[in-house]
Amino acid sequence: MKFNLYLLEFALFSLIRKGAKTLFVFLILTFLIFLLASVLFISDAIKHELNVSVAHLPELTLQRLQAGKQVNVPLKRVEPLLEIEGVASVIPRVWGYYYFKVAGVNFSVVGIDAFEQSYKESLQKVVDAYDVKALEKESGMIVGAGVKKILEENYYQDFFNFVTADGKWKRMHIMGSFNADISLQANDMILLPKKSAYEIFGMPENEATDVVVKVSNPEEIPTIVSKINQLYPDMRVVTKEDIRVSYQNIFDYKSGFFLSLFVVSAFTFFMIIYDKLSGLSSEEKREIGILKALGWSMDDILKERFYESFILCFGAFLLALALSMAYVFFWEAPLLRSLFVGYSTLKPSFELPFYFNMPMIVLLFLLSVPVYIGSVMIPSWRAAMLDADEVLR
Amino acid sequence: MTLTPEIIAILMLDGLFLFFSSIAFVLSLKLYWSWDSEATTLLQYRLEKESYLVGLIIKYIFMLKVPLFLFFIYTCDTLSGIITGAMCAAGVVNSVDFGLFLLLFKLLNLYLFGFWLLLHVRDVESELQPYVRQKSLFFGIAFFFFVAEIVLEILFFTSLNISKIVSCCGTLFSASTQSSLSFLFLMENWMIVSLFYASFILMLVGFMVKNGAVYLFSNLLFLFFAIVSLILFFSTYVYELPTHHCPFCLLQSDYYGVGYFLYAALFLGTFYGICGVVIATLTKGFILRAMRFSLFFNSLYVVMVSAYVVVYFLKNGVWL
Amino acid sequence: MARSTFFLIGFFICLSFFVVVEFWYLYSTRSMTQEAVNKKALFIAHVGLPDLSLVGETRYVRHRSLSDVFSIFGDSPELLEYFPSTFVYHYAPYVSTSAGRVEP
Repeated sequence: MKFNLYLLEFALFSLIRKGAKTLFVFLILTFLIFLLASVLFISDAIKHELNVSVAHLPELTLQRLQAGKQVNVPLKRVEPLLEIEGVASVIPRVWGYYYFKVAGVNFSVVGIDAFEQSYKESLQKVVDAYDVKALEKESGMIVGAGVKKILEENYYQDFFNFVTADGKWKRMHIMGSFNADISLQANDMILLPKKSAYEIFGMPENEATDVVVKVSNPEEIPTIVSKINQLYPDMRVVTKEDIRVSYQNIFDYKSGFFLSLFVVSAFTFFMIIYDKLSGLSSEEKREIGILKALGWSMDDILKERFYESFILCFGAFLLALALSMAYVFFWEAPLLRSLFVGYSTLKPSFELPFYFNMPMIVLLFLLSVPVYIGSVMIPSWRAAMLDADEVLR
Repeated sequence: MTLTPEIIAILMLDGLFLFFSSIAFVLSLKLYWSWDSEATTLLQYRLEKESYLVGLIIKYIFMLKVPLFLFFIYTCDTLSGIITGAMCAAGVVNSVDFGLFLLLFKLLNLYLFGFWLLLHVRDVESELQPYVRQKSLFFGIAFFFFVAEIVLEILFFTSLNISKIVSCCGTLFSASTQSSLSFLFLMENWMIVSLFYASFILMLVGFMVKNGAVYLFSNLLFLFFAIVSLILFFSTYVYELPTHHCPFCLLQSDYYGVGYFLYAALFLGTFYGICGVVIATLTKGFILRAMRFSLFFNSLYVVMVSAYVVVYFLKNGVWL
Repeated sequence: MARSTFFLIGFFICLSFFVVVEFWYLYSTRSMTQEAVNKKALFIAHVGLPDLSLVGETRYVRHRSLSDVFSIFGDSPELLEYFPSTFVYHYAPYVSTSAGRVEP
């Protein structure tokens, strides 16, 4: 296939001549690719964020299931777990949901051992303006940015009254908030001393929500898992690898949000283009008739049509790419964002880290350009098939 | 069944291909039955136009099939992160019984479509279009292979089970007797490697004496021995591991995706070698050009795989 | 060459240039910095809850990796998809391995 500059010029003029029609197709195509690119950018960035955080998780998380429900783990199970060869440490955790009725939001409340020196030092690094002593007095807490905002809206400037399980008030002082860098992870989190957490949840102090186990040698994980299963058959072990794998397909493409977003619209688009191009106006027919009478072959007309559609869809592709990057990363994806953040009032800032991978662009290209070229193929062949004498008669 | 955007893209394009290739198939049958370049009937006039559409559709499918093939391999590679036990595309492809057939069909179809296009180019060069019936018949047959590929591909993606444990490439391509390819390991390494170079030398000889038959034969041998020797011998030098014999891990970014270049060179070289020579003998012409193309890519392949061995030896002073 | 061809080529060059500049800008200013990665690592290592706080409506989406199938089911047997976010986020595969078969 030889490249013909004059044909390209002719294709360009023809696009300009068709004016409104070109613009219409160009805009729809840009919009579709833009929508698709934005979804892919957002989901890839979220996946990237998750993959960064999953690398630093403890190796195993143990949950106790009773009658199919997750229940608390008795603390006396910690000792036998520690005795398993290869286990580096066993940490019982207390964490859960706290429903703040006034604002109608859920906070994730996590209890920590505030007295450990290593804890304090590393916490200091992720918290702005944080006073270690206050946590030691067991009345301080560290909150995420979203929690702080919600509390301030409800006139809790520097403390918050939890309602404990007994119906009493438990006053906790806000000692600091998490750094903006970890707002995606910590937006709805409240970190407070373990003792207060027990009190707020109304949990007996000889139990824990779940247990995390650190293993020093990752090769030993399968053996340790089977030992734990033998020791406590009612405990489910979630490994770090399990979680990593589950992040690979975190988005439920099957249940339709993606499919309904794209495949349906792509085929609708296919139909629109097909329909629009098959109905040749008498003017277009005349044009083709004249071209043929001037000696253009079918091949030339097909080539010219191909150039036309390629200019159109490649331009739309580039424009959509530029727009979607700006939309997702500069403007934080208004409207589309609500798909990913749900409708809770406790919304995190949607400042996703920029993440770009080449296969995504290839995917985008494969999902958009072939569909368009395919839809113009038969209509342009039909047009090229017309005979000069038939049309001009 | 897992749906990722990659799989949706592949299935959607499969749907499009099926639609368009069915049109081309029907038209091809019509062309085959009633093409008569001597006739001056309305039917013949219409058929001439329809043969254009067939060419257009097949060009479209072929243009997309080449990148889609690489994309398929890439998709399998990413899926290996989800599927338990799989470490590269090999495990994913082998997680269903017909995975290997799907891959073979894909390759075969690339060759078939490429062959058709070469024939088409020869055909439209002449105003008489002397090979319309031949190429229509050819597509009529190739269509069934193509449909088989698409059906297998759809079955492959729907029957992927992420909780099933599959073998990784380390066991699939090992010398142990259970592995499906263990019969290959019965041969000695030096034998395979010398056969590989011998077939390349035979190809050179065939090129020197401009003998199509020798060249074609040597290309077939070369393709076979290249793949076998890649699994048995050359891959270990790429990985710098004497026990790792996987033809798929080459494609991963840990090895700079060198596999994409290796396979591209090998398949382009042998494609021009085999199809080019066949077409040239069928239609009498341009054999030298096809041979030159073929020799260039094949030599590129030989140089690349040999370089890995030589560089390893220069660096470490020992053979693996 | 006609003026419109120049226009076309200019259009494509400008657009490509714009994409590249935008990409470069985002890459250099908005990529995750090592500092942020370290902070996330510290936080996650201590708190041990891996999921993002993007969705807070229910426990099984907010703490998706650490929920069980019955807490998903818990709202009501018929209302598996009670929250719109469950259309977007898939439950963890180890919670239930295949449709119809529940393996807690």
